[in-house]
Amino acid sequence: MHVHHTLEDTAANNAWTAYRPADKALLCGCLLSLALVLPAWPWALCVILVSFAFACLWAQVPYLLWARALTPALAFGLLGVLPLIWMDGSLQRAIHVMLRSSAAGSALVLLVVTSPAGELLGTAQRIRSLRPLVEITFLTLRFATILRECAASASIAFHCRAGERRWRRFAYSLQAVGSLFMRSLERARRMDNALALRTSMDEVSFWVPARRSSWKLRLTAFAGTGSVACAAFLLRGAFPWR
Amino acid sequence: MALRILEAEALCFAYGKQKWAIDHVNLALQEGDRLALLGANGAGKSTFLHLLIGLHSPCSGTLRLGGSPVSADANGRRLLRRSVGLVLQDPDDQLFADSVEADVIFGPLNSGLDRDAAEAAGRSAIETMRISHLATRRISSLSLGEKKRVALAGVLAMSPRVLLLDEPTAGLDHRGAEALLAALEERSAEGIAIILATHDSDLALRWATRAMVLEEGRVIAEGAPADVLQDDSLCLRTGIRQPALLEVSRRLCHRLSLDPGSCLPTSPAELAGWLTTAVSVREGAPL
Repeated sequence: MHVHHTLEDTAANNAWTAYRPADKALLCGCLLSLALVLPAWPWALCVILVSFAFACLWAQVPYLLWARALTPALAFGLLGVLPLIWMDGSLQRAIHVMLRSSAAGSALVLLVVTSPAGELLGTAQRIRSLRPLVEITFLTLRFATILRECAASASIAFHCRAGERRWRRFAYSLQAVGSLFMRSLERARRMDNALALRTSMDEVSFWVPARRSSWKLRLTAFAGTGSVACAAFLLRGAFPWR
Repeated sequence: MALRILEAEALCFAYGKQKWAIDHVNLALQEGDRLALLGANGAGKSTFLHLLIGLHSPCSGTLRLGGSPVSADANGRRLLRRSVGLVLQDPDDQLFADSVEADVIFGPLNSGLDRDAAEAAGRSAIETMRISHLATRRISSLSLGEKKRVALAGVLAMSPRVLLLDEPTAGLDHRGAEALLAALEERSAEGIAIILATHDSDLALRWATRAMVLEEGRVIAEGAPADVLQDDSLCLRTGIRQPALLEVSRRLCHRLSLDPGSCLPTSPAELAGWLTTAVSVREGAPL
């Protein structure tokens, strides 16, 4: 719970907050395409380092938070790589996949830690075909936040009542999961009512504060991507173990 | 005669096949009315509010908005929600956006206003609720009292003519409750009719111009708050605590051998004024 709040708070209060989400998305999109298109070694590592530098030095996001935000992406990548090693026996290929997925993850994390979710969704909503998806994501996010708060308060209450015995704590935790399910249904109903009260249109719209456009971000996106791509082309074959 | 904004006539509602949760309730609200809806837990206060805003469809009875009947279909609900606003008991159910400003603008934007008009409506509601200092704050960083004020601003931004509030002061400290009530008083002076569902009889006595007591979905008393709440048997029957001011004035009347109905104060100042007069009239009477 704490991690999420810190993440969202940081996304709303960093050196890039004043910039348009579209500019940040452009830069992160360029980094993502570099991660996916260029050879994994050494360019994926390069993308990770550049993402880290942009997030922690330029946008002034705390580096620990950046690392914590990247952890789920790394864990997910690792889970995917393990069967590859097991079945293929190719460690090199597994490392390449891991590097590539980490680079892609770091590009996305750069966007997440520098832009509040509401602003990203509001911006994405301008693309008409994405509207239903954005609406579902928005409601899921809001619902997940409420559930997490419910889980946190239930966890405190159960811990207070469970005493020091571990087995009892475990039993109470199971009970908490059950009660959370019931609570979530109730909360979902109440949220649905509240949404019905505040919307009379067929689709939900989000308000995004006016942000200024950043030529620095756009220039970095185009010039940076272009120069890295050129460097990759010129230095092709220069790196062993590709 | 003031315009009747919202009327309910013999409104009935039941959850499934259970007995009536709301049983033939009548209501007529005029501009600037301040109605306190009192009753024990499960008396039907919240259900009644939900009926008035179209979250539930009545099993029978009629709702009228500005004199015209409201249909039970989607159009009727839409019409109702453009004129009536409900502030839920738990503000977390009501707040959707990341920041205060985005949340207050959410309602107007989703009721069909264009971006500029929605922003103007939202900012005006923020000014009205005196929460400009919170505008850029994140919802998750607000206290309960602040969240309640933001939720109210979100509803006010939709320019309702009737405002329904479900336990607005529950969980608020004294200062938070006072700020909220002051805001409601201002809205009432602007002509917005307000219904406040509460257990707090002191609040009802002080703030409301009318009180309605529900028991098992039926209206069992209605009138001026002081008149309704001075009834010992009613309070005992419904589990409503008699307001402290009325309790004190009743004891004073008993002590001074006066008719208890002669003093029904709605504020400490009124009680003090009455007491000064009573003592000066009965000079020398021991208190």
